[in-house]
Amino acid sequence: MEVVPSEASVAITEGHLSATVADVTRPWSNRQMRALGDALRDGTPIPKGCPTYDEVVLWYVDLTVMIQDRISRIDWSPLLGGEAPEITSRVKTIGTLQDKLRRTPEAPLQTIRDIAGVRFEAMMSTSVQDAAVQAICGLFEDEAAAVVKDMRRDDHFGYRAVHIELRFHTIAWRAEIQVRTALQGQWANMYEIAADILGREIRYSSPEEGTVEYGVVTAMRGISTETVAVAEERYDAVTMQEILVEDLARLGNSARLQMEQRKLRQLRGEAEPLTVSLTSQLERITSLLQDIRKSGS
Amino acid sequence: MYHRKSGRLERLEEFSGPQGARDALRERLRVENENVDPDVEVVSLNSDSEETLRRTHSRYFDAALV
Repeated sequence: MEVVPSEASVAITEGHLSATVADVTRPWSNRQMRALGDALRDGTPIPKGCPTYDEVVLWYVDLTVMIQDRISRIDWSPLLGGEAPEITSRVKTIGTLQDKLRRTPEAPLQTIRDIAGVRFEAMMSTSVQDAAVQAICGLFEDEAAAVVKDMRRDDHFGYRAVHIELRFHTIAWRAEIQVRTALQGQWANMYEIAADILGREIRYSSPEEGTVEYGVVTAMRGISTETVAVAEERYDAVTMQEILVEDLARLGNSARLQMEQRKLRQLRGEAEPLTVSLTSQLERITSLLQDIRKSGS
Repeated sequence: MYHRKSGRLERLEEFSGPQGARDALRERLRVENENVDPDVEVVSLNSDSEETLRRTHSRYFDAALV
């Protein structure tokens, strides 16, 4: 099969984003993609007739940017107020793709969900995070099946976030959208620096028990799964209470309003110091990790 | 270009315009193919501004550009 130049596969055209995502066809068959994935995983030459990694990611990048652009065009202010989301994207590097193919040898290349990755991050409560996930899923419901992976309660080696996997109907193509609160993002960035120092594998496995590395990693994961999770629960309670107070004020229910306002002040008193202290703690640890990294290089 | 062990951001280049993401990726692939240091990570990130990336991908910006 002739490889279609990626320039021909899709064009980013203002105002025609919906049409292009649905109309795109992948220039390579599943068999060709699988063969490329096998070669990348095994470090062997790419079989004749198969696309190269470069050709495949150049095809993916246009669609990745299209998804990012579509999410960016939504008016998020009803959900997030004045806090605009930070939306970024990237395609997977060859090194991280090979790592993933080796970790999951049963998964052919075309089923790797995060070759195309979009990140959505905002200062928001976990309830608002849920609403943002629903909004993003709804945005693509005509073109893709969305599989939501909630890693807030069921963390991935300390990592907490909600990931949406989009499985497009017409183009046999997948993309991942990471939806994170600011605290989840701050912790993840800190842990990435730790991974630069201790080894990338701490993102997918645990160091040997009893080692210094094990202690460090366990403590850092605990910050995410315990402290950040509790801070987010409290922040969420404040958000929900604010909505209740606004509703009561609108309805003119003054007797209950006063009671709920008192409760709101109490909830804020419990949530805000923890969030401030946690943010500062994460900044401090990040700074220490940076110092360790500098001194070791 | 980012050096994992030292945390140094060794090179930062912006590509703008409708083909910016594609141009950045092409450059990433070119540099990646030439790179022989396993501790060097070459990434291309798409965003509305560098400021956004400095917040969302702060790991790459912790140490000053060489």
